Amino acid sequence: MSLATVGYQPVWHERLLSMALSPEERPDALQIVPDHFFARPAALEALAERYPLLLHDVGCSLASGGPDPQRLGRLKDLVERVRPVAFTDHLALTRAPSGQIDLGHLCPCWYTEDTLQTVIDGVKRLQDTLSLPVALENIATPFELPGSLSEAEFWSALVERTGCGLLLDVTNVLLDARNRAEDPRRRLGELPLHTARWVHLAGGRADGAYWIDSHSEPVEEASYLLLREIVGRAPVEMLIVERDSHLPSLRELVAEAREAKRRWEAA
Amino acid sequence: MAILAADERARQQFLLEPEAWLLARGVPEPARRALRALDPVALTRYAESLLDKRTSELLSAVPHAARLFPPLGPLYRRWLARHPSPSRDDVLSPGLAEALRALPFLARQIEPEWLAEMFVYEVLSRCSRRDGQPRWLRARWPQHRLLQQVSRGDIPLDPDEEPRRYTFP
Repeated sequence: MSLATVGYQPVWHERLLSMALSPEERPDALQIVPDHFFARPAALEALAERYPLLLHDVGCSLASGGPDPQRLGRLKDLVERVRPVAFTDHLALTRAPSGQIDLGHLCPCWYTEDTLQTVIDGVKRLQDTLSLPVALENIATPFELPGSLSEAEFWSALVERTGCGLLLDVTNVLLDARNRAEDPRRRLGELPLHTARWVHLAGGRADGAYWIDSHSEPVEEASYLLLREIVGRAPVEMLIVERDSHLPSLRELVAEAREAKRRWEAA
Repeated sequence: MAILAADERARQQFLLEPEAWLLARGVPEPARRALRALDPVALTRYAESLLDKRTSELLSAVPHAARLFPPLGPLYRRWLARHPSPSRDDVLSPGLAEALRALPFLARQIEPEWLAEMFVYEVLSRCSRRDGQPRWLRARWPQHRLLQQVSRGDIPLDPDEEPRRYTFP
């Protein structure tokens, strides 16, 4: 069975803890960005008493050296408080290795042996420190840096040498394929689907002919159709609907997550 | 890559003379080859998206000042393009961290003075509420009351001065 999960937003915090929460508003589980709780970890404990939690970080910058010791310490503290089901981040970099620049956003990594080793080292550090399953998300790629490895080779070596999983973002696959005029099913075939226990769905928007992973729209039909392509190929435990802007009500977002679950189970 | 994405000057120089820019930084050949193959349109679009994201985060972090001073977003965006964010080690939200970093610059740009001071008050009070660090402000106007007014939807017009010292949190 897979859990209908939504990405937590602070505006819903009180509602998620409210005794008046209706069954239609109640997600099966929550995805949490740890930064929301570094300054108030006790607030996450209250959520953990009611929901299974998946930690989803954007700050480890695994492709440029992994989490710094301070961040790792904060993550460890949160994990020990709430025992989430897993820790996830992205196969990306968010800062320069020197620490000189923080992008504040995900940047594609360069698929080389050196980068692979850097990511492996970072993943192992996370696994050793957090004692949790670790999974990395395939990001939407705004550009490509040709490296010595293909994306498929990179992912394959990564999961084999670390035991980490894939957090499959179906919508990222879809939007990348549109931007490259490719068949999204081909890209799916290059990812280690057999390790994908967690799946992201979101809605992007078009800027002219270019699709942006904006997390601002409802999940579109094409994402649901692509989700069907991984039935029987991925051991999915959580279907996570994300929204970061144009936030709907909690009830509406939970309805989207339930719709994803319904389609998954009916497929 | 991070420099190219975040630093407008560096990106402009790179796009004009990629090889010279890369050589000047001692980038080894395999990486030079990959970076030379970057699509300039895609790189620029990505850089713009970074600016958009950070600007949106900053405006969300200081909603009152942002509402009363619409040029805040464009001013910060232009400044950020020339002053990339460094890595940080704090528990502030990205928007608050950037508001604090850009505070000296932005506070000089905002007019009138009581509104610039409101921006400073909003930044310092929210940062301290978030990270618990003590901060203070010697204010010329009663910013706590002005903010209440703004929260109610009123726009203060030429408010009377009432000097005081605020300590946060």
